[in-house]
Amino acid sequence: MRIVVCMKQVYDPATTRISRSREEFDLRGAVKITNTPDKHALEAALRLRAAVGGEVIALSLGDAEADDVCREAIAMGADRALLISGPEVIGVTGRAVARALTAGVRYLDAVDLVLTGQVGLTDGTGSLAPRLAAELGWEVCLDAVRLAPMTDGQIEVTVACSPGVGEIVCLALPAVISVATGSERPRYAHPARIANAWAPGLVEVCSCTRLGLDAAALTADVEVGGLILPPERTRGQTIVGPTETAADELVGLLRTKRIL
Amino acid sequence: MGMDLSYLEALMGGVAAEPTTSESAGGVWVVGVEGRLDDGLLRLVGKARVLADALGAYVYLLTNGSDREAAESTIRAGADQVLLAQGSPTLTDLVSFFEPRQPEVILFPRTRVGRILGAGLAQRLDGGLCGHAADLEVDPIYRRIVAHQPVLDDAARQRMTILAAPAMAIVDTAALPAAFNEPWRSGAVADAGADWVPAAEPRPITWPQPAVTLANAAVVVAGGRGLKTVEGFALARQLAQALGGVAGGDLTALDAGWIAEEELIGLTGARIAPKLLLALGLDGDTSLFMSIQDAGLIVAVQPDPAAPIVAAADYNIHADPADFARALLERLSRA
Amino acid sequence: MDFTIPKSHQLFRKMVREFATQEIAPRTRQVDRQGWPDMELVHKLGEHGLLGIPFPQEYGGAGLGELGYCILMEEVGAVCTSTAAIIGAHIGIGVMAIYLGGNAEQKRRFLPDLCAGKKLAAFCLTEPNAGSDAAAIQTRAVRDGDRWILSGSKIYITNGPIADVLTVLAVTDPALGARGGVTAFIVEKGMPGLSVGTIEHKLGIRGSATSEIILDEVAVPSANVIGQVGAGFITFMQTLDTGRLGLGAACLGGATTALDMMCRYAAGRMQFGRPLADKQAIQWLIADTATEIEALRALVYRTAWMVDTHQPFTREAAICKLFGSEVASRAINRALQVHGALGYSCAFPLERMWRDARIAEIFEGTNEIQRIVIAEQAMRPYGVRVRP
Ligand SMILES: Cc1cc2nc3c(=O)[nH]c(=O)nc-3n(C[C@H](O)[C@H](O)[C@H](O)COP(=O)(O)OP(=O)(O)OC[C@H]3O[C@@H](n4cnc5c(N)ncnc54)[C@H](O)[C@@H]3O)c2cc1C
Repeated sequence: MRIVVCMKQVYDPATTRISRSREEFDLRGAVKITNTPDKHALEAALRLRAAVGGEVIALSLGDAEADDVCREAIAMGADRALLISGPEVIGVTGRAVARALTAGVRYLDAVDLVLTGQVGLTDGTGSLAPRLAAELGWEVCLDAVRLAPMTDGQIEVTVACSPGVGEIVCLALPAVISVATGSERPRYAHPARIANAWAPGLVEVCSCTRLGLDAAALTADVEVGGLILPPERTRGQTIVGPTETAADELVGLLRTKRIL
Repeated sequence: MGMDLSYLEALMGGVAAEPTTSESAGGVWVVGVEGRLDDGLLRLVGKARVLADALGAYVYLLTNGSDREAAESTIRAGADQVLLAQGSPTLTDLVSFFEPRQPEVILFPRTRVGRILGAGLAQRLDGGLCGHAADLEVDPIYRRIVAHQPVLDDAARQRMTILAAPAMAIVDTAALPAAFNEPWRSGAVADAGADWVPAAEPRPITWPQPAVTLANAAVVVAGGRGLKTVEGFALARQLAQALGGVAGGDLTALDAGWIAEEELIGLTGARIAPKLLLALGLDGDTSLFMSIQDAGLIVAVQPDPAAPIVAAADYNIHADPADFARALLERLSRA
Repeated sequence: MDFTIPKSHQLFRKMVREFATQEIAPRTRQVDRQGWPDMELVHKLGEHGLLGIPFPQEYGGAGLGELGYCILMEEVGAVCTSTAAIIGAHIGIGVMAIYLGGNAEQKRRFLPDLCAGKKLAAFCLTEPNAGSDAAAIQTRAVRDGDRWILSGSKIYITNGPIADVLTVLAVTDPALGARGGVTAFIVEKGMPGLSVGTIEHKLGIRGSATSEIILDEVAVPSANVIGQVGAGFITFMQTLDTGRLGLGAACLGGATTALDMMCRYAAGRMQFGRPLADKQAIQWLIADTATEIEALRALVYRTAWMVDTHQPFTREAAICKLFGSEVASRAINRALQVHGALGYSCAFPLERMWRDARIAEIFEGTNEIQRIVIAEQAMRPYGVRVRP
């Protein structure tokens, strides 16, 4: 089976701050990492490969630094990687990302399965898998926690609806599946694979032009604006009144905060 | 397809007439095709109403989850026209449905089906999409939809102006205000003229989940000296259960023998980061404060207004912790 | 001059850090309390390729060199000194003796299993009458056809009770002594006459196992002689050089953790109405620690680079070990002071770190011995021969 795993580089949410005064992200201390949900997708792909054989290819889109993501994928076990890069892909939005990655999947040829992470950390929405499926005209399934290949060109997918509860669906291949973060924990990269991941020939870098995409295909479908911030936290407030009314008020408060 | 000038009428103060055919171009569409009409969908219709009023457009609801009678509730919630369909649409079905209609805005609820069809449809119609919107507004100058997309686990929301048409969004309906219920509204109910194949029944399955621990719990109920007795502390455990969280305690609770070592919150125990920390009868000290720095909402129940925790908590309730716990338990069991 | 750490090693650091936080840190307290290694963890280290980091891939290692080894020791040392000691005794000295002194056949025979953690190594030098004075060892090896019969006792051997492969230094020609009369052997678990003696109860690194190793007429085939007969002392001293560097790296990790704890607590603890961090007395502790850590970091990684680029590094390794162990002890001692009573409490990790840190000033050559090594190198151009 030839499996493509879409993997992107994101700002680590733990190091990404918000500037209240400028109403935008403060990225000065932000560190770029491989989107961890994508590592879950890679783990699922590696398990499938172990079960049925074949090839796992990491597919990424981004600037030159996204090479790190490809190398990490290879260190974790991917056979090779394709990086779609070049000035034209900087800052592209969801629609264009899906088109470019689709072109990448077509370029890789004879792909049976495309896996994506559930969502991009920091500012993702989790719409890549259905977008890709629409572009490719393939079947799609979201939030998979387990993938079991079947003999008849189908794949049995366990989908998580809530923690511990889900349903089983069967998809005909080729298909696009997003893998939930509740799936098997991604493996540690093996040190020897890490040492070899920068060997030449493992990551192919490709421009959009070479994939046959023109500028029109990459136009933005949305424009990112400023941030809207919740009111600053005020500590030390008091809910006054007797126990009974205070309890009522707290229940109301928890409802509006969507904790209940 | 001609230009939809109906909004001009609305802008000029006239009440727009009900759309007569489902073929009219433009409009704000809500697509709820999961065989049910729930409160989330009604909220979404309400949001569509607000956008449509700003655009001077009609609100259409395409649904397979309603009969003519139930459709009335969606009209009270703001729909101008409800299009009833049978079966479940594939992406191709939706593409052929929408291509001739040239909608201006299409909204999907953020369910699994909504995410698949919404994002897929956006891609097929060459539309612009915000894949996760918590709110939407209209930029009146450019007549564009601006979605508010949660970022960093909803620590903030990013404005997303949708440039391409149709403007589409997959909306977290739980984040929207309550649905309208305005009996004076009128609207039409029509047949969508769509003949979709029923969806296959999925096979349900369950699997064991790892236990929730203090370190990863979304809700923590922490008890301390103020609960007075082991029976008092039991209330903290009951509340934790009722809120779907876990119980813990500070050193005073540990010393009193109310909690096990693993249940200690503090520098010598667990560091926690729940969305809600309910602190019952905790005074608070450095060890505790340093271990709850990442807690979202902190509610402290503590009779002493001078206790150190008061300044650290978002909300304080000055009551006897056990009494309050009982009152809260009673309300939670009612709900 | 370029101080950039290669991308591969940056990724390796991420991997080890993740492994250390998820797999090692949760067991640190437990191994200290039980006074014994967590063997499941030791197997995991092997399974994930962490027990062969510096060695070439042809022998089953990761091929990440001394730089990789220092990164490993720093990250592990940051969460658990006991585990760092287990790895240090295995990679840093146990396997290293075979790698540096052994022939290709021996490396092919032993390294793959050792790198994969299927077998664990120990390094047996110290004896009751030979501590700092390593040349005074009395363990004897007598030739008997194409085998050697080893008799004697080694003490304070890290990994002793859990090791499968032991590198042992023994006297083969008492007349020659350290200059040609001492040979290194590979002794394997299961060889008749080899046994584990007294198990040590220690102040710190209780999560590592230290014991006496008794050799009672153990027959070792000649094929297990490391390098040449008579070359053992040199092999062992060279091995200790690399071991010392790794020890310095582990100290760097421990010191960094102490600094992190110190800063965190100084920011959170309120006294006299302000955070402790407001007090200059506390700031100076923090500043001094940060300064020493920065110096140590530069020292450790430059020395690693010297090793990987095949430059002599005996002096630098001794400096890393000496300075590193003292920096770590000071940093942890200061962190304990900043935490007040909490630092002294057994419920908090600092008392363990404080006990653990002490070992680095003693093993792999006491700090006094390191000073002798350094002075010896310093005085050589002046024609003075420094003797211990
Ligand atoms: C936990 C632990 C693990 C160990 N693991 C191993 C192991 O795996 N393999 C192994 O072979 N050994 C191991 N050792 C032994 C360790 O290397 C020795 O303890 C160390 O080399 C010192 O030897 P000694 O204890 O006999 O002290 P001594 O040599 O008796 O020294 C006592 C004191 O005198 C000082 N001193 C000695 N000579 C001089 C001098 N010339 N000038 C100034 N001061 C001097 C020393 O610095 C020390 O302070 C371990 C020890 C411990 C505690």
